[in-house]
Amino acid sequence: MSPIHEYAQSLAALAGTDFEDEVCARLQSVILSFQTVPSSPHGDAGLDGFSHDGERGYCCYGPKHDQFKTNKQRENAIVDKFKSDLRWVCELDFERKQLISVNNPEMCTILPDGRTLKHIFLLVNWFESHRILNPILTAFAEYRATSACRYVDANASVVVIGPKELAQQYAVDEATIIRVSQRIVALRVQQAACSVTIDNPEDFESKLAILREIRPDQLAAIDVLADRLSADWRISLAFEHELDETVPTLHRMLEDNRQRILRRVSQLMLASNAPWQELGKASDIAFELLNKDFGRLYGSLVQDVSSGEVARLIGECPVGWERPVPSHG
Amino acid sequence: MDRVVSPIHDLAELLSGRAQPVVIPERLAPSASYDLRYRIAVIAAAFEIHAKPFGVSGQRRISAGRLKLLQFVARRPWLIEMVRDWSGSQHDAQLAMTASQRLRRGFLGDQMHEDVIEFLVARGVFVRLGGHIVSDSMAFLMQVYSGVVDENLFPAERDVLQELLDVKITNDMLEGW
Repeated sequence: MSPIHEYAQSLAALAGTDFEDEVCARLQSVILSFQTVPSSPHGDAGLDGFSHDGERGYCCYGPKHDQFKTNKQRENAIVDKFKSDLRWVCELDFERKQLISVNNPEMCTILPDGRTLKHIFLLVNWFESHRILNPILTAFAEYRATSACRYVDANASVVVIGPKELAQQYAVDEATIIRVSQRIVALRVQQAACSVTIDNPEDFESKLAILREIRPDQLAAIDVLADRLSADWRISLAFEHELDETVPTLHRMLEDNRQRILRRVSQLMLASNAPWQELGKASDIAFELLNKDFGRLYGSLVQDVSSGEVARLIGECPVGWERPVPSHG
Repeated sequence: MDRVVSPIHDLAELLSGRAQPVVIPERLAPSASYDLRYRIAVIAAAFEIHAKPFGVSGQRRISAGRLKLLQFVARRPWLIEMVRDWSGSQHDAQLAMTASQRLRRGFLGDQMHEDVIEFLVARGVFVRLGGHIVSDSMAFLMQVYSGVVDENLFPAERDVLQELLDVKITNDMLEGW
């Protein structure tokens, strides 16, 4: 697979802020004057970035892949999102289905004075249908004609760019591939977790059997719980495999942290009169420990891994439970 | 954003007051990656299968980088396809770099392997000769490898090492970035 193709695939796999961040990082690395527009605390005024002294503007949209059931729904969402961005940039809104002028107060704090956007690039993580073009381009022509054009040139152009187009625009180097690979690591771990096989689940199953005996009133809840614990455990295993294959030094840190998690949890459980309450805090303890070493690199994935590490401690034996000893007399 | 309640929390509630906790910290099984005897066994197998005769005294040698890559892949059989792709893309520098990026990052960072080699050098099993590892005491490696074969230990690792005999591993692949 060529680097361009691989990069396009990776871009297409990203969604939400991950997609926007990657697009901005990419443009920043190849366009000297590219300026990102932070969206908080005042909003981004419809622009995610601009370049060439304010003549070129960039709007990103990375809908989640499972957000739409059909391509038609996806097309509509993309059209709606970009039309909304373009209206905002053109300082327009709808009132009773009629376009009216509104004030976009942040725009004057973003673009350089006296500059108007001459080209607007709409970057999207899915561009498999040309059917989004006509509605967007037609709408923009109408917006342009209606707008006071304080921030958009009267002859401004709009171009839709998908993952393939963005990947082909500039050379794809190794730094680009590494950067996008890091972004999709969470996605890769989640996908890998689906196919991870848990070796020797017998101990885990016997613990669940005891739990069912203890709580016959909660059988349905226990089944759900068993699925969630197994899923988290598989995430933890997939994460371990990822580190083992790509960053062995971090794998060692994960191994050390697993020991620390068990030590902390067991100390709390053994010292407490309410040991199960302490177990309830185990995921937070795991998160606190793992986040120190992995939070910056792996972000929100650490939360899933933390829960998975505790599930794994239960599944792989160190933490378990027995039937209560019957009291006599 | 609200965090989803951890299943561990739900489990704790189900168990609360109804079960006796059992905590056995020593039952936490460490990864085999940090088991010295396992690592020596894999290195012995890689060396026995891939090292070439060297000199006149029956010694054998292998490039240190090659040994590091071989043992790394042997312990992760699913990576062999990646090595094949990497090997097959040697005509295209950029493609080769991309195809191998994850694998190179992994095997080059395998510090445990370096530590085991240092241990074996200190024990007189290996001698470092430039970029090569030379067997100093063949008896030890042969003994380890024979034991592995006789006991049919680590068949997956040995199968991968055999398969890797048919994959061309060039110096370019081993000389870093």
